[in-house]
Amino acid sequence: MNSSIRKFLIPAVVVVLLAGLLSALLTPQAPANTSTAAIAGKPAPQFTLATLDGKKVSLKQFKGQPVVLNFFASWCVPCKEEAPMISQAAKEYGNVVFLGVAYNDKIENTRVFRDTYNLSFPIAIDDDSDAGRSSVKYALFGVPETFYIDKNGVVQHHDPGPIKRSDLEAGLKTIGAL
Amino acid sequence: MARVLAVLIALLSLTVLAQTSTDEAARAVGATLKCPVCNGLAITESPSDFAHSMYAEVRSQVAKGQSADQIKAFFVEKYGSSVLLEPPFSGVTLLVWLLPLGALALGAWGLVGYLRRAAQPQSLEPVDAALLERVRDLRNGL
Repeated sequence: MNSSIRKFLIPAVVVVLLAGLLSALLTPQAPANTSTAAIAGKPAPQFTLATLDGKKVSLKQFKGQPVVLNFFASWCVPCKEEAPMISQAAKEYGNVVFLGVAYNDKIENTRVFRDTYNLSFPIAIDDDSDAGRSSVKYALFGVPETFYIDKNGVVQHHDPGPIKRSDLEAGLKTIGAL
Repeated sequence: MARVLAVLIALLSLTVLAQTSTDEAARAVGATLKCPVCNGLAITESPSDFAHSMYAEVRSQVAKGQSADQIKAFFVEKYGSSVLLEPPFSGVTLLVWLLPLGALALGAWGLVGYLRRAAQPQSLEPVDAALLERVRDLRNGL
């Protein structure tokens, strides 16, 4: 091979490889919780779970109404931090269905959590049945996580992690509830 | 009575066999899925509750006759392709697969070129006679 070609070709190939690597590294990746991108804009996965009151609750029974679906656990500290705000908001926004789902929790502890924070909305207990398993259907990465489902049953927004009042209001706007 | 017992045993054996094959298939699929809250652990190896729930979903889908690809597609749709322990051979991950190969090929090419050049005989250039004389004098201590 001609020495002048070799002189330029090797650095050129190295530069191309490094540029490719750099570009791959600098390309914005999906957030750690990729379920935000995965579920937004899609029909809300259906589930049927038992509530703390011993009744059954299905997501489909709320079709036609905007829904705020909040996954939590009584052992989760951030869940305790957001609970008073959610409790208050549920009372204020009567046009919105608030539905809590306790993940990996003992029923008696969930009951104490509900009573402590005066949660007036239905609280379901996630389970590993085919009708349940909502943690997988919603691709949870942890608790708390909150999903905003519009009246057509489509997930419009997702807050992975604890929420503040402003987050909730932003979510409510996406489902036309504010 | 013996016939009824035989039929019952046969049914029981078939059930156990079916369960075993479901478990094996579920474990095979589960071993390719990453627990989303762990550090690179398959859901079959993770003690996390999330991983247990995911494995229950895998097992349920296997029992319903879903193929491994269909089950993986279900989880990729939910969690994104990062849920797969082995990244897919496409997109940016294609670059991750190909870059080391490219670097290896480049290194091999450079090494072969170097070895070829090293194997070539050195050209003997004429040496200046005066210089040669001086070297000789130095060797002889003059």
